[in-house]
Amino acid sequence: MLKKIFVWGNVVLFALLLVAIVRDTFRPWMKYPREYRHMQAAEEKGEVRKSIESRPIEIKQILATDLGQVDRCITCHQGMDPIATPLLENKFTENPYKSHPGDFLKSHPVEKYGCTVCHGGQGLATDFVGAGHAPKDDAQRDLWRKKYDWHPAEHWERPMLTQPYLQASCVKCHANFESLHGAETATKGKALMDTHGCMGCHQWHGQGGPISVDLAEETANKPLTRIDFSHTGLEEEDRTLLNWIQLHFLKDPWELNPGDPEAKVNTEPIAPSGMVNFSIPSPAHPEAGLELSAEDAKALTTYILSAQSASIPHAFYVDGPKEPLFDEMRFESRVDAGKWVFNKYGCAGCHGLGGKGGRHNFNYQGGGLEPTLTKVIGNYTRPELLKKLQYGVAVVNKENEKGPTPPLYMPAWKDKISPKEMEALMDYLFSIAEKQAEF
Amino acid sequence: MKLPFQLPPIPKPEEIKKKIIDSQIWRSMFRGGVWKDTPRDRAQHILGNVWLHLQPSRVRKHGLKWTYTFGLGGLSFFLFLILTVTGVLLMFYYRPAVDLAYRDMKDLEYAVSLGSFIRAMHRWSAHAMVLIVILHMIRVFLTGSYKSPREFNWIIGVVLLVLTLLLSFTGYLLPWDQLALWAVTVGTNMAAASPMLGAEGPFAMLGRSNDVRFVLLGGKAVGANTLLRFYVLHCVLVPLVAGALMIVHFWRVRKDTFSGPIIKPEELPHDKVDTWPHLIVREYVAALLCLIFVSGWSLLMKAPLEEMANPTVTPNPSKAPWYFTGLQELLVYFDPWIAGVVLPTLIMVGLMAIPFLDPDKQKGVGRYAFRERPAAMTYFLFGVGMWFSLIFIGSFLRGPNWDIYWPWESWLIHKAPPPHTWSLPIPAGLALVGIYFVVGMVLPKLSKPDFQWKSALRTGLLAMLGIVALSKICMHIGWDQMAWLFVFGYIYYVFGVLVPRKHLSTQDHIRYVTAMVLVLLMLGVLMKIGIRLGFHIKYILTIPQVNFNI
Repeated sequence: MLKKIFVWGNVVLFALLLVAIVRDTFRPWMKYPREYRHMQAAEEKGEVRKSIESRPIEIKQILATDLGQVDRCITCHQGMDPIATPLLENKFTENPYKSHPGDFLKSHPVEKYGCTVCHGGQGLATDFVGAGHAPKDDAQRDLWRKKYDWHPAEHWERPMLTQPYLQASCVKCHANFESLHGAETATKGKALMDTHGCMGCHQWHGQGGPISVDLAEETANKPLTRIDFSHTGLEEEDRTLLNWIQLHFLKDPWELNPGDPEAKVNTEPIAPSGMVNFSIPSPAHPEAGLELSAEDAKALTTYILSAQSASIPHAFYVDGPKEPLFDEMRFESRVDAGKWVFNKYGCAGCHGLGGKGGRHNFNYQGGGLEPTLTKVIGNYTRPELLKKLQYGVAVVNKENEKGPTPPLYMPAWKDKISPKEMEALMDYLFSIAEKQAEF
Repeated sequence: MKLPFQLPPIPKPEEIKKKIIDSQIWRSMFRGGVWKDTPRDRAQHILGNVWLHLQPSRVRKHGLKWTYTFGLGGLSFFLFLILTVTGVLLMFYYRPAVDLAYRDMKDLEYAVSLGSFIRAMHRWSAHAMVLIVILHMIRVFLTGSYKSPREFNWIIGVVLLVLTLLLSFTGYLLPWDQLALWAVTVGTNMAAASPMLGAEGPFAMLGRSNDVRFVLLGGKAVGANTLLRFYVLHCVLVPLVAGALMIVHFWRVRKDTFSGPIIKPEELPHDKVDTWPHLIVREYVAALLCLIFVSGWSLLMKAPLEEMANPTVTPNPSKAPWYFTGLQELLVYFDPWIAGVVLPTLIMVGLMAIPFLDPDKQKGVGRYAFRERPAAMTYFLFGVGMWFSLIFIGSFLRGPNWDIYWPWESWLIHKAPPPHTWSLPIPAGLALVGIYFVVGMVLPKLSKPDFQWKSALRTGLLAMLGIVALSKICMHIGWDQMAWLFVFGYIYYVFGVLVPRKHLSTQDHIRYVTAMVLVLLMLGVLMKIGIRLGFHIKYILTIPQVNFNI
């Protein structure tokens, strides 16, 4: 008995070690450079062919020292390896063999930039799943599941970005992205952010209203452990920061972030999200339809993701146009100037586009809707309105006294909106007010 | 073709073998001549080799049975060897600096030849070693192998157990991922709760920048200094100390002789057999199976590696390494200075005291004899059971905010906060603690130890039911409170009164008092848990001025 265990044990141990060595020696990535070598050699003859065929199969990496990154993507993506493909061009159309589309690598030499600084993913990985590949659509996801046993890379919070979200990476360095070709979605995202009043409540690198989080500093860099996915309905593998941000434009935020209005789990009642519900038309004027399309949601997500932190050396930044200042702008009229101020400070966030529809505000007295400016402005005199704009309404009245504090309130704007801007804003506000019947 | 000279005849293999063995080079290296498999040869084989001479040349037969030792001591050492070899290999690739350590893990995973396999082996062997060392201790206790003259070696063993935990714990930080950072944060925060020496403990004398945690971490929080410190501890200091103590441990096993049933003079001579091959082959097979298991497991399961360590992002929950989750679970019921410092110290002291508390030096040695030493077995297994139950709860049943989550429950569900707790006023607390220890000490002595188990258990059951019913009527306690009161009260009655009355009350005074203090402390932990679960009492005795809370 002992003898049998002795003999067979040794055999099994030897076999196990052999398995370990074999598994280590023949790694899945190896077939790609080998196939590439084969494909490349088929087009050449003589010495060139020989030299291609004698190219070693090995892990290739780009040491992007300025960025402090090591990317091993070119191990498989040989069409983008400056040694295997000196001109960085080939005729192949399939990944991982094809060369980089577009002319991006001409202005962004691969030796200097590597891959992950734009694409995301895990540069050090040498297997398909670990690299953090992200499918562009459901069809590709199903294909990858079959082909590579794909799932999101575990414990890697920044998977690769697909189009159009990839454009977020341009914005990281290019302050002039609004004039770049290929960054149209990010540009659209920024424009939407300006017109839909995000900045009334949120901030962008510290600039904006005080009611909610800083989209650039906090939201874009939120670690997954701090996100409560309980109410998103997302499958485990879809629980990413990208989806979390994007759902805010597609789902009812009350559903996404319901708070605890009846204090079931907390000691104090907590109101649900104060964010605009973009999944339904504005309740004040439903005939206008949805404010944001699915494409718009993508654009906004892209622009927010552009604020993801990255350690990029200063020399990599490209300067862009300065944010326009009120004093330097030329407007057709006072009303136009006021409209610009209305958009810049995000008034639409609570009061609706053009002040035409108050947004929902949980447990706010009078039906839980923010004031529709076109209806109420007419009741104010100019000094009254100025006071309201300057000092805001910090404590809003509750509909249900025992319920939670409504999430939205009118902030004090006197330190943010300059006196000149304020005057223009008031001109605009009075211009949109519906005419009151004379008594 | 004809050769111009005559070839010498081809020698036979046996002749070559003899020639090699008889050569000066061979004989200079290995003592003894050609192997003839005589008893003398076998003994010579052991005696003439420094490694094999760790064993005696002949061993008693009973020690060869698998079920006697399960090879646990030998496996502990063998796992230490695996860890040394794989650890040295890993050291070639690992740099203990915060911006490099995690990247080196990824290199091991994705680029280094066999890197992933060797790291997995190191990781899993380390977990296995902690488990097997604990099991080894349990086995030594159950077979009474700590009894005279082996008391001192038992103490060395307890120290080695602590060093094993330290080795594993210091190694836990080195991958520098979230798992590592936060497990070590949980573990070292306990140090800050040490009485007097920790900044957050009772009677704190030192500040946050010079208490024991600061010494351990090289800072106020886990950081670059901690990584370097733990690296040096893990790779140099602790292995050296552990190695030195292992030498003492093995040497004492030889000198105190291998434990076994006491032999009466009329049973001599011993039933001894040659160590070579009988013991050696068993040791080899045990090591072989262990290595098969560890390498097979490492092929199937990669070593875990989470996101890179980030001191600003706390995972919810943050868990200590599994062997400390039992103590972490106790944090629910006790302040950190008790759960993290006092209780572990008491466990160590209690374990070391065992050989001296045991009045009988011969009963149950060399066998799993429950009937011969019922009290010792009961309390030891009770403690082991508590230790592993707490580990199980802490590791598998705790989720976000350290709430109870059943394994099939999603961690995304929000749980209601724990009910409001309250503390007893100081006089009541002092009285309760005093009564517990004084009455607890006296109760077992009040009656004679010659009672009948059945009737005593029945009487206790009826009495407990009576108390519970009375509490229900007089104090209007809830049904769940009745259940807690009954369960914990009955546990106390059996293990705090009946068992000591039967088995401890006959011992001499010093032994009785020491053993009873340890028993009452162990049961006290359970009683505090019961009081919290049943009556939401946070502290029994609290003196906030000096951070003293029980």
